[in-house]
Formats: sequence, structure tokens, C-alpha cells
Amino acid sequence: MDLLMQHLFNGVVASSVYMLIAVGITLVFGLTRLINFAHGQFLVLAVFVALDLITAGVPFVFAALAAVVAAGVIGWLSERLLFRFTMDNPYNGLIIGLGLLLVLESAAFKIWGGFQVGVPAALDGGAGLGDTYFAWNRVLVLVMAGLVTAGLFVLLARTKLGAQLRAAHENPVAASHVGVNVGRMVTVAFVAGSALAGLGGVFYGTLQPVGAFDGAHLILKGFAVALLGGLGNVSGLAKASVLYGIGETLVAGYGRAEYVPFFTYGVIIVVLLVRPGGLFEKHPPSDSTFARSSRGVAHVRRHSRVETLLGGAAFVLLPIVIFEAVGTSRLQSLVLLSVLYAIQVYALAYVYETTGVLSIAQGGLMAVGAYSAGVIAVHLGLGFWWALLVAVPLTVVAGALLGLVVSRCTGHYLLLVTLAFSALVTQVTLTAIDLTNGDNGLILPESLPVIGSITFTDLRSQFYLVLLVALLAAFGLRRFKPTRFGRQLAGVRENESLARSIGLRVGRAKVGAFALSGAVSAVGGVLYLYTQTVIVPTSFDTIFSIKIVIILILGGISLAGPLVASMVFVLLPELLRLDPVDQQFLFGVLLIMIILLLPHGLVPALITGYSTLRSRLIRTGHPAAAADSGRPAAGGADVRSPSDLVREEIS
Amino acid sequence: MSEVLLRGAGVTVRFGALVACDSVDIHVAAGEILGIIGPNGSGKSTLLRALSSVHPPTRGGVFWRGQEVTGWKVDKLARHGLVMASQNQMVFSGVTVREALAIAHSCRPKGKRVDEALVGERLVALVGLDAVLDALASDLPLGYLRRLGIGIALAAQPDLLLLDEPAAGLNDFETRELKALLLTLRDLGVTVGIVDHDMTLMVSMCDRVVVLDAGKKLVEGPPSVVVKDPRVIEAYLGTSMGTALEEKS
Ligand SMILES: Nc1ncnc2c1ncn2[C@@H]1O[C@H](COP(=O)(O)OP(=O)(O)O)[C@@H](O)[C@H]1O
Ligand SMILES: [Mg+2]
Repeated sequence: MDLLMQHLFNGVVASSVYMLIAVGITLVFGLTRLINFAHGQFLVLAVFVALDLITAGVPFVFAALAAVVAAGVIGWLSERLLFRFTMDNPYNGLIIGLGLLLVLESAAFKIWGGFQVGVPAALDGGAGLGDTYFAWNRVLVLVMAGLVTAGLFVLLARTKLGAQLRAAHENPVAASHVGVNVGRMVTVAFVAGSALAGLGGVFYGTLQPVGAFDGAHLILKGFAVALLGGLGNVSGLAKASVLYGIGETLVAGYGRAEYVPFFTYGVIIVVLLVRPGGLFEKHPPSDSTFARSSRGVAHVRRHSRVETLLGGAAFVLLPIVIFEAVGTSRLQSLVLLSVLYAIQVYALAYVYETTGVLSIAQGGLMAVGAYSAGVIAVHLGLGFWWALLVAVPLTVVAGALLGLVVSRCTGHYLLLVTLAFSALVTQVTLTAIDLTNGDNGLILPESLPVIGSITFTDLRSQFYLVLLVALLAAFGLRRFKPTRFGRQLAGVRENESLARSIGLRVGRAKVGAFALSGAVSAVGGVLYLYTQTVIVPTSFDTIFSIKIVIILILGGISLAGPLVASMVFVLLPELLRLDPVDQQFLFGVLLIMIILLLPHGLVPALITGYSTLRSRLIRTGHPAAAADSGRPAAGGADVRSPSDLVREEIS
Repeated sequence: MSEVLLRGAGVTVRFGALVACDSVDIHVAAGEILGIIGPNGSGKSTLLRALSSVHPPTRGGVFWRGQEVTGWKVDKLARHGLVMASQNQMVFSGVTVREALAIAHSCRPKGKRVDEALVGERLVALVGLDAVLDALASDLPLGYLRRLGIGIALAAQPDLLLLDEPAAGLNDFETRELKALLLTLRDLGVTVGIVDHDMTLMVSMCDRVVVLDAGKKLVEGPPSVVVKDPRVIEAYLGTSMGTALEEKS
């Protein structure tokens, strides 16, 4: 019974820290509809800064202040240098935030190393009351966080700045008409939110150790709380953070610490499923606030037959040429790996192209496929065909479930719910040690089946098998286009609310698309297992899912794009001899640069460049012939840029 | 009297303190063209959205063929035969007209009874899109765009089609074509409820007219009677349409 008191106390203290994090998230979201993924990493930064200063002899108070300022400054910089450019499109802002998260994580690792560190508590000792121990430090955290939050409420309610912030939140257009500088308010929200994260970080650091790669995990916690309270709803937050903090502490106290992530992701997914407006919102956000509206003029670029043929040929031949040209088996196995990546990219591209959802759950789906195949091979001794027979339906179900959650929520929540899904799957593979061997991973005791005289034991035959599957996936998914189901998905993509208004069950269509993508993903996952022979949870973690997204954005949606981009993406770091942390840094920078500079993706940019060049050349030759370059005969491949679609979606 | 397809009883829609629709009683009978008119901001669009479940009423009930359907999902209501085409989200824009209509047909549930006049070539001919089948929907001139919007809605085989200002921005010729189309639809058995500002169109086409003013139902009756009603003229007084009404009366 008294243990319960202790858990409750610790839970309330933790909740006060989550409150600080969530207030920052919600402040920024309220004004910009943006969820800054790097927010959690600002917290990590604050922990390291505070620790360094305290170690150097600076008193706790000043170290904490410096950490808060550091977090505020980095928040300010990120708004001025990055997010400012995506204000008209929060979805792109989300992706930039992901990139920033990757960059800051790897930078933190470079500077402070990979160990988890804590901040020395400001106060030692405490008081016992019955069996419950009230550490002074925890009491201090609770009181300080409470005061800061209360101060923030007063600031919002009473001051001119607060009134301007609220006005900008309620109705930016009207606010700017009455003289509120909305742009400045956004900056204020960013700086204040980040500074709060800094303060939260220092406090969090005194409660438990934090490492360089904890940012993603912390943003998800903060987001779970913000969501529970109703995003943008500051007053719901206090209740939500207490609920969440206590819930989490109880899970860790009576269950196991490893179960906490299940709690976090579970909260996110369940809240989004059941009460997308948060627990305390009386009126859930109306559809019109978040739904994708009619997206105006979509850019369908059509290509001539020759270009399509060339693209198709390049798509088939390029990997083969490269595979045969690279001399070493090390490089050949990387080409094989890149085709395995490409299969996942095609699966993701399908969902993206049809439903407009840029899912960060591809790793999760692939993990379901690969692990279910691995588990039945290791524990039941069943081989490849059984693996397919079990993995595909299981992953289809997982994909359908994901699709179900996704179809229940809209706009900015989508990215997060897919992220939570893949984090959840990774956590399962880590925790279900009896089945998955946890961190140590599964080693496959089986090999690919013999078909005729082909044994698939050497790299070359495996490569051609995987390439064949990639081709089948790419062309196969395209075959759905002219079917009834394909058309329904086109309706969802082109104008979801219109499709709904003429009777389409939009949710079902999305579930179908995710299920189909799951099937492809599963086959790819099984092939991954059978060609790489070892799988560990990190093979399919969030970083992997983000890589797939980067490749998709890099390659754009076209037949050859994903394959070419996968090869560049997998081979380049190897040729540059980058270690994984440098790679992560590079991915982050790439992601940011693509969104800011190359919104059409790399491959479509090249194609556009080529088309422009060609039409210039033709125009100089035959003035009349130039007219066709805009929109030649139907039947060509569409090249749509993911970020373009995203842009249109939000507008 | 023919069957009542749709009935709104005491339909009230609030936006905060603003009462956009105030206890409106309204019905649409099978086979008629019902017009809803009223000055700007009188709650016509809000009423259509409430009736079609796009934005369900705060208070009051909506009944479809006698069954209460208040708060139903838009798509469910559409599958039961009530479709609204609003002016701002009319088409699937990134595809050709042909593809847009194919998409619209695919959205209809499999088992649904179809009217032969509202599928395939017949539908294309009905809404007059033969000439532009391979044009991108986003490239269409406004008149065609509206017809595509109506074509898409018709592909769902509605029993009642609600239209919000389908004639806005159309020239006289296009408006006459639109009128011909709507009259043909009525003859084909599709009931129409229409909101529009074009008085000439409304008076000449509608079988019955409901007038809204400041969210309340003001008058209801045959168009020729309604436009002479002093209350209606007063509601419109000072607006350009008021002048139009006075010319008629
Ligand atoms: N989503 C909304 N939120 C707040 N007020 C609205 C909303 N939609 C309409 N209104 C208000 O309701 C009133 C009626 O609007 P509307 O139905 O569009 O009128 P009409 O179509 O007759 O011109 C107007 O005062 C309008 O400002
Ligand atoms: Mg209107």
C-alpha cells in the first residue's frame, strides 16, 4: 500500500517534467500546427550542458539557467534557419524536424559520447513519511515545475504578450489584422517552448540518466502527454501529464521498466483511435480543421513513351550493370541490400501515392514479416515457404491495423502514429526475448529453397532473385491502378472529402492500401532474413524507417526512382567509409536539404532537367514541336513529388 | 403528395455564439426541385451541410425517408442516396475527366441499384462532357468543371442531389445549360435541392422555394408567390438581388 504512495509521488514528480516538455510542444503546435521532432533533443542538449557546467564547478542554479538559455537559443536558431521556411506546410516541418533530430543526436554523440549521464541533484537528502521517501530534489522539481507552469498560465492570461500569443493561436489572420506580429509570436513560442524543454531536461536529468540518442524517445513521451491533453490546449495538459506520469510510474513499478514504451505508444495510438481531440476536449477538432482538402491543381507530369521505356530499361538494367561491375563481394552484397531496401521503398511509395500518408512505419511492417519468418524457422524449424505462408498474412494484418489507426486520424497526427507503430514493433522484438532473442537477434538456421537446379546459395543468384521480386513489386503494385480498388484509392488521393461525400468508405480503402503494402513489405522482410541470415531489432528500427522515407523523397515517385535512390543511399556511405553516426548525420542533413531545396526529389529533378534541356534543343530545331513537352500523350508514367503532394495536401 | 425524401426538423447550427441556422423545418419531396434562397450569410450553406451530415446540426433532427439520420457519417448517407456537391470541392483535379468519372463510379458500393442513365457513356452525354473526356480536370473552364462536379455526384446514383451555388460564376449560356441539365435530372427521377443567387434561374426552375433570413425560415411556397412576398422583399432590401426582385414583382 505504501509502495503505492511512493509510486504516486514519483509519478507526480515525473509528470511535472512531462508537463514542461508538453507545454513547449503544445505552444509551438498551437501557433504553427507543427510538431517539432527535435524538441526532445533540445532537452538532451540541456542535460549535457548542465552536467558539463556543474562538473566545471558552476553552481546548479547557474548551470540550469545556462542550459535553459542554450535550449532557447537552439530553438530560436532552428525556427529562424529551418522551420520558418516550412510555415505554410507543417507536414514538411515535421520532416525537417526529423532531419534535425538525426543531426542533433549524432552531434551530441560526437561531442559527449554514447554514455547515459545524469545531472547531479540540486539538493541531497529528503524526508521519510511512513514507508514513503520524499527526496528533496524531487520535491524541488515538483515545486519549480509547478511554479513555472503557473507563471506561464499567468503570462498567457494576464500580459499583453500572452494576449497576442492567444490571439495568434485563435485566429492568425484576424490577429495580424489587429496588429499582432504573428511571425514574431511564432518565434516567441519556439524560444519559450525550447527553453521550457531545457528546464525540463535539467530536471529530468536529475531524476534519471539521459543519453545522446534519447531525443526521439522523449519527444514521443512529450507528444503522448500533449495529445492526451489535446494538442494546443494548454489547460488540458496539467491533468494529462499527471495521468500519464502516474500511469508510467505504475507500469514501471509494478511491471517492468521495459514496458514503459508500450505504455507511451499505447497511449498515443489509443488516444488517436478513440479521442483524437484529446481526453479533455469537448468538441473534437472538426474534420475541416485537419482533413486534407481538395488540393487544387495537382502536378501530373506525363512522359513520352520513349522516356518511359528508357526509365523502365534503366530500372531493370542499372542494378544488374552495377552488380556485375563492382568487383568485390562486399560491394555486391551492398547492391543486394540496396535492392532489399528498394522493395520497402516501393511498398511505402504505394501507400504514399495512393493515400497521401507518408508513413514512418515501414521498418515496423518489415520487422513483422522478417521476425515471424525468423521465429518459425528458429523455434519450429520451418523453412522458406512456411515463412512466406505465415509472414505475409501476419504482416497484412499488421498493415491493416496500422491503416485502421491511420485512417482514424488526420493531418499532423499521421506521421506520429506511424512512428509510434514502428517504435512499438521494435519494442516488442526487444522485449519478447523468449521468441526473438532480444538484442542478440535471430540467426537463421534455414536457407533459400532449391528451385530446379538453382540453389540460391551464392550472392549472384540471391541478387537476381531479390531484383526479380523488386520488379514484381514495382510493376505488380502498378497493376492495381485500373482496378476498382485502385480507382477508389485514386479518389482518396485526389480528393478525400469528395470521395467520402459520394459514398466511399475512405477508411476501408486506406486499410486496403496499407494491407497491400504490408504484403510486399513481408515478402521483402522474409527475403531480407533469408539473404542476410541475421536479424536484430535495430535492423528495422525507427532510423531504418526514416531511411526508407528519405530514399522515397530522394528518388521521388517513379518506376526507377526508388531503386536508383536506394543504391545511391546504401553504396555512398560505404564508399565514403562513414561510420553509422556520421551516416546518421548525413541522413539528417540530406533530409533537411531535400525538403528545403529539392522538393521534387532527386530523380524527378534530373528528369525535369533532362526534359527542359530536351525541349530547349527541340525548340531551337523545330519551333512547333516544342509545344508537346508540356503534356504529351497519356499513358506515360506519372512523376509526382512527395513533398509537392504534401504541400498540396495541406493547403 | 409524393413521398418526403428528406426532412429537417428544428435544425439548429451554432458556431460559438452565432446561430447560423435557427430551428429550421424543411423537407424535400421526391421528384421536385426545391430552391433555397436568402441573403448572403443567411445560413443556406450551413443548412445544406447540416442536412447532408457534413456538419451535423447542434440541435434538431434530420430524417431520410422517415428514418432518423442525424449525425450519420457523410459517406453512409451518400450510400443511402443523399449526396451534396458543394462549390469548393467539386472534382478530382489531378486526373482526366474520364478518370475522374471512373473514380466516381468506383466509389459506389457494389450492390447498389444503378440507373442506366447515370453510368458510363450515358452519364457523360447527360452532363455534356463528351468533348473534354481526355482533358485534365484542373484545366477545365468553370462551366465544364461544374458539370463534372455534378457528374461525379450523379455517379453515386443519388435519389436526392443537394447543390450549393452551382451557377455561381457561370455566364448566361452556361447557366441555361445547367438549368436544362437539372430539369432533365428531375425527369429522370433525381430530386434536386439547390441553393443559388441567380433569381431568374431559381424562379424559372424550382417547384418550391424556401427563403432563409438570418438563419430562420422566412417563407416557403411556389417561387412566383414567394418573390412577391413583402417579407422577402424586405429581407433582400438594399441588396442587388432586392432590385432584381422588385423588377419581378
Ligand atoms: N465554419 C463556420 N464557423 C463559424 N461561422 C460560420 C461557419 N460557417 C458559416 N458561418 C457563419 O454562419 C453564417 C451563415 O453562413 P452560410 O451558411 O455560409 O451563409 P450563406 O450560405 O447563406 O451565405 C455566416 O454568418 C457565417 O459567417
Ligand atoms: Mg453559401
